[in-house]
Amino acid sequence: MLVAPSSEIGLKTIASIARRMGYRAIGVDVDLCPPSLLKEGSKSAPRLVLFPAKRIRASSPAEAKAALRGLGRQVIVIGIPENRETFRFMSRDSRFDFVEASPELVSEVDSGEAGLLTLSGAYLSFSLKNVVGSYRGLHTFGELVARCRRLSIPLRLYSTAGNEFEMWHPRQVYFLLKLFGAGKEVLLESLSLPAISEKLRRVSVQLDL
Amino acid sequence: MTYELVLVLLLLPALSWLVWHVRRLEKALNSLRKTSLTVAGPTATEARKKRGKRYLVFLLLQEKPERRVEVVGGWITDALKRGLGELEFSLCRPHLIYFSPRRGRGVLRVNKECVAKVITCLSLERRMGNSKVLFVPIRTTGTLKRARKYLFDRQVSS
Repeated sequence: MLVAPSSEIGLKTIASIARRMGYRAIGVDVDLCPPSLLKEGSKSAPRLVLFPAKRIRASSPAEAKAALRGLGRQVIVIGIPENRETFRFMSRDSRFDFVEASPELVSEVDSGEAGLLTLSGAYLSFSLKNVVGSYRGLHTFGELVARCRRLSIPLRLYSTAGNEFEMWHPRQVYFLLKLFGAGKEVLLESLSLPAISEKLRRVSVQLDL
Repeated sequence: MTYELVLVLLLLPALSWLVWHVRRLEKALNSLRKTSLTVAGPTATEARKKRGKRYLVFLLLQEKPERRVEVVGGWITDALKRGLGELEFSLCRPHLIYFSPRRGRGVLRVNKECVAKVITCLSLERRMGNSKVLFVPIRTTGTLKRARKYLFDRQVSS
């Protein structure tokens, strides 16, 4: 799960609720919550791993490259493209761990995209904030799930919660995907982070968590 | 005397044919009644399966805790009607069995086919009036007795 709290108290509340919900690791957006607060946040939930994540929003490949410069390997990188060209670039570049598909770019998810993601080893992701309070968002989410099923694209979901009321319990995500026809293997995989667990281990050790 | 005897002898076959015909009709009617009863009504097993209910234990996190149970019940009803529509809502037949304003935990009874839809609808609703809420599903059970066990469990994970 990825969260974006704006204060230490918010992070502590989210961390304690996430632990009670059964999460073992959550990503924290470093733009809103500096890494120094991660250590404080981890004290409120000792068995929960907090790892830093950087969300890069770009409208061109040049802008995305500039944002990646100097980032290093200490964070999980999530790319948020604003157009098709940047979407393709981020899917191709192996420095991006996740490429977030916004509702406008769902129609760009095709077999070409599936091939690029397979080559780079990145995951296609979707923020559940687009679904809350918007039935149009729900419709595009359903379309995305159908495309991912058809093209066998690994999909990951996160909440991008700013406070505890924007979080998603794993069972809520499970039933949401089940309602849209996702198979059992997709349901379980969307709630876990198997392939980047090596990077997570490295990142969390460096932060001394 | 002879004339009456002849009349009786003539009418007897007609009468016996009439009686035989009426009995045949009666038999046919009885068998039709039995057949129509079997088709129209469900068997006991089918009726029991149709009544399948699920008890959903949930936790409601509220920004401004609402003390009145009827307000929470009304929020659940409105959220489900908005998400499912009137037709699906009446098919799901949700009913708030129990809610504790102090603990924020409750039990919702729904039709077993509608569990995923009800959980998804309530997960998408994040506002109750002017305050924020979060509906957390803890457990789904088949009996109320088992649901009571999870009402006071601290952990909310599956």
